[in-house]
Amino acid sequence: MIEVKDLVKLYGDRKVLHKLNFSVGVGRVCGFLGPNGAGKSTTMDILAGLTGPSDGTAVICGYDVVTQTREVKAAIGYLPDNPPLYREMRVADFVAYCASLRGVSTANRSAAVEQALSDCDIQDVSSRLIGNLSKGYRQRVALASALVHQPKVLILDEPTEGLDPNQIILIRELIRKLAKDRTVILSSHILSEVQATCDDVIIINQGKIVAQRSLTGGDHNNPRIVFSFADKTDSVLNWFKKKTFVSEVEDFGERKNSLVVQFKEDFYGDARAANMAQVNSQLVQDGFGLTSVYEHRSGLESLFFDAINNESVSAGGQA
Amino acid sequence: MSKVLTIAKRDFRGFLGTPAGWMAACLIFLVSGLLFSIVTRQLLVNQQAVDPVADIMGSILGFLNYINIFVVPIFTMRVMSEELAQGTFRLQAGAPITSEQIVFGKFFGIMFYFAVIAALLLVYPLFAVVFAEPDYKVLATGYLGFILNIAAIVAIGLFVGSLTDNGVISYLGSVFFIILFLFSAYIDGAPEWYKKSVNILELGNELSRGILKTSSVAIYASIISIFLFLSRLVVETKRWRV
Repeated sequence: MIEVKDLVKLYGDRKVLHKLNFSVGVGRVCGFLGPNGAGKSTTMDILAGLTGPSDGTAVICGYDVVTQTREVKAAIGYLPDNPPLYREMRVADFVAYCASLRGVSTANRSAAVEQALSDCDIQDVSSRLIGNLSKGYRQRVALASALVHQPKVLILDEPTEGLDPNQIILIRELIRKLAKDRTVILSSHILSEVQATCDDVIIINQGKIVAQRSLTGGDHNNPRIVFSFADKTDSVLNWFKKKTFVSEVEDFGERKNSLVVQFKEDFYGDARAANMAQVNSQLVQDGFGLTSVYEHRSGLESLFFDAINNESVSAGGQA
Repeated sequence: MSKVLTIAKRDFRGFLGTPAGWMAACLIFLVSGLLFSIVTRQLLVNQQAVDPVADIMGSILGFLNYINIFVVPIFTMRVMSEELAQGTFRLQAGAPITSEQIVFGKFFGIMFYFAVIAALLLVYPLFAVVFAEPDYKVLATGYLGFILNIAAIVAIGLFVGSLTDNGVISYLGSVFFIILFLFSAYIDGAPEWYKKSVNILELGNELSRGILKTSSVAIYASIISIFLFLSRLVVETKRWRV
């Protein structure tokens, strides 16, 4: 659906993107993760046909973004990081305007607008002025205008930037819902966001892809488990070390009186629930004062920091 | 064509949705109203009116041609520079439409607005028609000059506006550029055809007195197409680096 090959972008002498290569399959949600200034928005702009690449190619739905820009623009829905909205327009009029610009015929327009408004759950504000809406609503109006022409590919640049936690959850749910029959590529610098919404993640730093992996399957299914206790954990640490099914155990730095445990491969799998239940009941029986147990999803976080730090070290070495 | 109309209609409604559009209309009607009363009084006192309608409308439209140098750039600034600054230009830049459609859409959006203003200005000749038999030809050429003059300023303003995303620079730049353009007619040694072509105000005044020449219309058409073409070039390059 999206194929990017050796993408390079120069602003004057400054190289913003160094030979990016990635692809996103049909029906996947791909997260583009990186610190501010990593080149995320530039990549999004190139994919949306708003900036020309200096070298390399990007193909969306079989159309090249440079030579077949109009076809690409018709096939995608783009939500830039600062959503473009006319403050003096009413919500439904604005979405209808975008539909018309994107070539939705007059006959289908009102149905398309209705559908987009209901997809984004904003029918209740359809006759209000955009300038009077809260930021969360405005973001959803912008999203509605990006998908009103039923694009096969959605490109979302920091879709939850500046929203409150409640609105973030709503937008995330919306993206998951929309992703069912579309390909979505979204950029973010928030780890948990990518974790919550994406199937694949691409980590980008200083214009280079430093890591790329799937969030569904793999060692994501073998998470480390955090056990918290009422008291000091020395004796429990020894308890875990003696068990044959534990591969690694250590103090969990982020939380007091807690241990983070990595079990061996065969502990997970089909019997995982039963195994976990057994470990928990034994801990309780042995009177360690267990207070909580949860999966530690640090996979992405460590991947991100490792990738970024390695990159800075090697970049420093070059300089 | 439908995309051009889509943009034009939105811009036109946008003018009515903000105070700027109404204040510009107020200014035009204030000036024209004052002129109407001054000119009619003058004509009545001197008892010299040959054709009250043509004479009155000629003065009003001729004077408005000057006022428009300062009014029209407000609108070109809004549809070009402000949209570049607020990012709404991306809506059009990212849509599957050509750059000509964007420029024509913005051009006609402003022209719709001034067409409505021109229609409402008909209240003066209607008022005078009660008292006299007007020379409709002078009236028609006056209106033609009024519209062509605005169209030329819109084209120039769109070009200057497309170069900057700063509203103030866009407005002052357009006014400055238009005045410079007009006054370049007085450069010593400039070719005669050039002097005749750039002074669009003089052409507008000629038309408002009922002097219709093919060359005047051709000059206006050339100025409009040259600057719309230049705007299109700038918009096309902007679309690749917004």
